[in-house]
Amino acid sequence: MPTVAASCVGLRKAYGDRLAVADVGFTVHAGESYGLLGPNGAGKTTTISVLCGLLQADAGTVEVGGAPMRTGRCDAKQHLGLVPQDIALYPDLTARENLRFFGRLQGLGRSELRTRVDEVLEIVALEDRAGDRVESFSGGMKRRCNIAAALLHHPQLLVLDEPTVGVDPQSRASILDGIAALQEHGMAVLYTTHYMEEAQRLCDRIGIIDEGRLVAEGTQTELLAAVGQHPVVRLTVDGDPSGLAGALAGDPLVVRTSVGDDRLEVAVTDPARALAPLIERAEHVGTRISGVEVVEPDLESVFLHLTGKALRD
Amino acid sequence: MTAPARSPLVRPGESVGDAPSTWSIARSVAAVDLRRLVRDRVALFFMVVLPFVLILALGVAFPTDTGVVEVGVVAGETTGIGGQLLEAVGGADTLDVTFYDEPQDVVRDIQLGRIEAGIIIPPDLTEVVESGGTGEVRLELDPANQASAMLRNMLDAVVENQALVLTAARFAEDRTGAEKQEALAAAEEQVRQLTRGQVESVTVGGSGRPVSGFAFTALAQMILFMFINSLAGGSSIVEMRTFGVAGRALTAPVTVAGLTFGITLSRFLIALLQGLLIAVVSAVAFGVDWGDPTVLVSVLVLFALVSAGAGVLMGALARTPDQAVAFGIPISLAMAALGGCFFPLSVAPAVMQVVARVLTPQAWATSALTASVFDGAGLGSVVVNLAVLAGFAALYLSFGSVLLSRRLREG
Repeated sequence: MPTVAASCVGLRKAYGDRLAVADVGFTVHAGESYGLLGPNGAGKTTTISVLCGLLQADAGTVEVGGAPMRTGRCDAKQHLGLVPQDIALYPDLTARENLRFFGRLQGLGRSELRTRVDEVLEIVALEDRAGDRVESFSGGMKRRCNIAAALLHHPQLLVLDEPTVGVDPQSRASILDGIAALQEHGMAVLYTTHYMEEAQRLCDRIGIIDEGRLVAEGTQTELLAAVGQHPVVRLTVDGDPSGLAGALAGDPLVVRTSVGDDRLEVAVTDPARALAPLIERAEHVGTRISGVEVVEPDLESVFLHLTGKALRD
Repeated sequence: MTAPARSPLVRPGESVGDAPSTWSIARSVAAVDLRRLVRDRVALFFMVVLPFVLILALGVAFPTDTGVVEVGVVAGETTGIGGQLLEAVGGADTLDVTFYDEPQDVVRDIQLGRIEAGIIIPPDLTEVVESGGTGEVRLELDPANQASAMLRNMLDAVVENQALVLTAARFAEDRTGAEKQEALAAAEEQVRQLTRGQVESVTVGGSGRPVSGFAFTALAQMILFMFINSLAGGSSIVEMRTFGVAGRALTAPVTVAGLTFGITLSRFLIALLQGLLIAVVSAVAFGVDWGDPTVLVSVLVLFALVSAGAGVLMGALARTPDQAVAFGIPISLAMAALGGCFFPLSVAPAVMQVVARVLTPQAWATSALTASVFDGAGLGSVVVNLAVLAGFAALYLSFGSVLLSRRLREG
């Protein structure tokens, strides 16, 4: 099995005058979970569509499972399974009938197809509802069936395009658990989302995409470090916090301070080590602290730092 | 979703399956389409129930044409011209003769629908004619009956024949001074020789075999419903696009051409199935004789291709499934009306017949089937119809598949 599940180099795609994707490139290694994080309209779905051979890029190359991807019939398509953003199933067919249909399109033979359909139904825990029409399923069950259809041919790379949009919290948790389990079995996952917490939870590496461009890439730690994001100790005080802010200047654990009406935000290199000296210094300058909150930096703040806007904008 | 932690079911990268052939893709798409059709009660009603309700309702309005006309005859004279007339009437395979004593009984039975026509031969017909007078044979007819023209022609022929004999006899009598009977016998012989070999019995406008009253409506409904269900069935193609199924299918090792071919094949099979269903059921249940089977099969196959092409075109053009139905049904009905599915094309004005043939494949299909069913036409007689149908099929299929391929690529 190749060590690289998929790679994109210099992808560019425009719709008329509008540039949807510009010079996007990334690599998903075998067994790795890669998240493409960006707001709606950032170019995630266009990137996925090119990667899956649904769209022809204006420029750039894509390889999946070591084979070049293109629209039409190609070997690369046998190495990936796509879970589209919307449910792509016939609602008036049963789960089993839908899976059989997509399995046949993957070229599965009769007996192999029967076996694989049973297996993926077990994976997504729909064995008991296999004979029911999809239209009778709950939203979460439809999503699971949608995922099952992408697993039939043992893909090396599972591509999930915002699979939890419009799903209730319980089903979302179930879907995320399932994806995590698939990762544990060595399946490479390319996961697009605009939910920061999903990317943080599932992805080994994350590419941040905005306005068609990949603006940053790396592990969560790498991204936070790259943009200089630090944990923040948020202090609520009685009185003016300026005195305390001045007293903290020059402290090697303190990166910067930000003063509000009754609040002081102190960016620190290590909150565990910085907290006790902070409180001690407050007592020393006579500032009474009524509340302490430690805020770890997240991808939301990284995105804000990189693009100047919030993820959900 | 609960993939077991050490599940043997997840084997990423393990090779499973080879790229399917185009034929395999086509079969898969067709199988799913048929399965969905069977589950769709409305579509099934339109395909399996409504055509036969209409055939039954419209068919009973037309009596079965057995090819035999019930005729009542009052034979006031059995020799001479009257005798010849009786001989002609009695010898006609297409007439079933009942003799009456009184003319009013004939008129009464026509009015009661017991017989379709009456011939009243006066007792002194020959005598009046031979004396230079005008003999009168009354023909009593139901004006709505198609047998009228045939009977009138038959009487005219007999009377004209006898007039020819008398004219020739008088001419011989005048010029040669021969006796009247001698001149008459000679004239009869001459006229007999003159007409022998010249007159050939040709059946025009009929196959000579009984034609069920359900025949026209069955063939018309067949053409109507093959087309209407294909156009409305374009909605399933739109669903395939809008459900995202087509998009997902194209992430498998499947080409746009393969998927388009599969969709088209599916529409063709469904249209063919619709046609065969109506042909078989109307033959078994309504006694429709479809004439030359090669004509029937050729028209069915070609018109199924036409319908499939139109359905694919609709499936590519419509943006929503409802649009395909909303546009498909009125378009089909208009084309069916123009193309002779609601009334025989032959009764339409000449201009409309030309327009129908230019615009609608239905006109060529119904006229080919009508020729086969009613006139006993064989494959050779409808070859132009079949060629034009093939042309319509090529046109619709080309436009339909090009447009659908474009839609599928657009996602």
